[in-house]
Amino acid sequence: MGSTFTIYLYTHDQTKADEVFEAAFDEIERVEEVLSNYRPSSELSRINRMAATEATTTDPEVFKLLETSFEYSRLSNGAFDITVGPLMRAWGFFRKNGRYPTRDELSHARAEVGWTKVKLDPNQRTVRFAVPGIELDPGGIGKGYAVDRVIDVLRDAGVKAALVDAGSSSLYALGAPPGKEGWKVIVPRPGDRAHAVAEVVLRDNSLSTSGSYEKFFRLNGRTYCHIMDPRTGEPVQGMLQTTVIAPTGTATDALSTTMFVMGPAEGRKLLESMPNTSAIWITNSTNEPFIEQWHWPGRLCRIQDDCPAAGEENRKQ
Amino acid sequence: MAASTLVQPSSATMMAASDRVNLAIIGPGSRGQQLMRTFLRVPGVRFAALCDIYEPRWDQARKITGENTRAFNDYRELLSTKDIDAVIVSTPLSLHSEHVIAALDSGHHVYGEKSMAPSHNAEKCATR
Repeated sequence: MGSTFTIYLYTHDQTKADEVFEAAFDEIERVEEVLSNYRPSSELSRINRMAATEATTTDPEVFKLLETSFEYSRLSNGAFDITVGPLMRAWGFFRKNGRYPTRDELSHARAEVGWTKVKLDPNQRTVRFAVPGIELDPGGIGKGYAVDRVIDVLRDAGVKAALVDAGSSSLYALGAPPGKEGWKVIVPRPGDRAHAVAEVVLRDNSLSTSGSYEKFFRLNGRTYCHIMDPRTGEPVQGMLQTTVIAPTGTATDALSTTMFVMGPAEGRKLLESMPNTSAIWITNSTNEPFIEQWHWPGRLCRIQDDCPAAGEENRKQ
Repeated sequence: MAASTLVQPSSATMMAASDRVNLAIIGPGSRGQQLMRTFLRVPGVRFAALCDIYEPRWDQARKITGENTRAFNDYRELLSTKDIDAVIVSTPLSLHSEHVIAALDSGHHVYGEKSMAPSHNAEKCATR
């Protein structure tokens, strides 16, 4: 994950708040130690090292998260795929040195990508890679999953109102601040945090945003972003930002990436099968940013309008 | 885990008939829950029972096992169940020797968190 987590919460006194904060950040560290693919000691790193040579047993938590990840892969016909790491490497995004890969590099990377090449055995709770070179990268779902686990900790501690924000891209709004209907959340324009593109009041649900404006490179007049379409092996084109609201952080994190890859036409068809979801897409396929929405419950600004982000009391995604 | 203590019972060891290794844990607090996750990454391991006098721990531990694991608030009841191969003791330090000795006396393999006992005399009892 490697993200900055921010937690706002209400308790009756500071001592209780301090206890809850400590438990919450302990949980973030625990999830990081389970899922980080930057830490050789993590459970996911162990699976990545072993599963190409033997069926590797893991604990129920990790196994269930892998099942959930591959369920999103199945539902999206591969638009969401946590095995996309070799493509990211081939396009230079792991070294922050984006470049167009050679045909051989791309072909080699594509051979090592594909959720169907990972075999899960629920009876034995094992993970097995069908080909060498596969690696599991929870980048598209891990932050939202960590947010959900923190919310579990807060609920267990009796907290009724909190907002947990992971890296300004995935958040969960628990309950509502005193006297409010919920937590007002501002979705900024792509690359412009001073202006809003949407706002919404959240209560007991989650919101995640995926954008192409932070990691990208330009070549021969085209922009290549860091979000890959696993089905083509190339960065997604024509999309600037997607935001999804759903009942869990795991869902919004996975779906914001999925909607980014699928785009509004294909994405809406998938969301029709998922109750209590809403989304906005900001596309630039016509050289002018354009917003499309699906059941968005809050205010939307036309991207050309002067739509300032709200004041300090509001959380910006 | 390297700093912890693993003790075999002096009586004949017991193994489940299947390839499954049925574990039980006394004290699934924060350290105990980490131990549970680690043991569950070993092929064939499942948790058949757990014990904690603080009952909110039961659901926390069941989230880790992924099943409706039997729970007790008296460790003696847990130790009297018949389908357990080994017992993890991760209670507070002052209770280690009491729980480790009881688990050994009931004929189980035992994984005990360090230190084995809070005093030299109690440790001698546990290693007798």
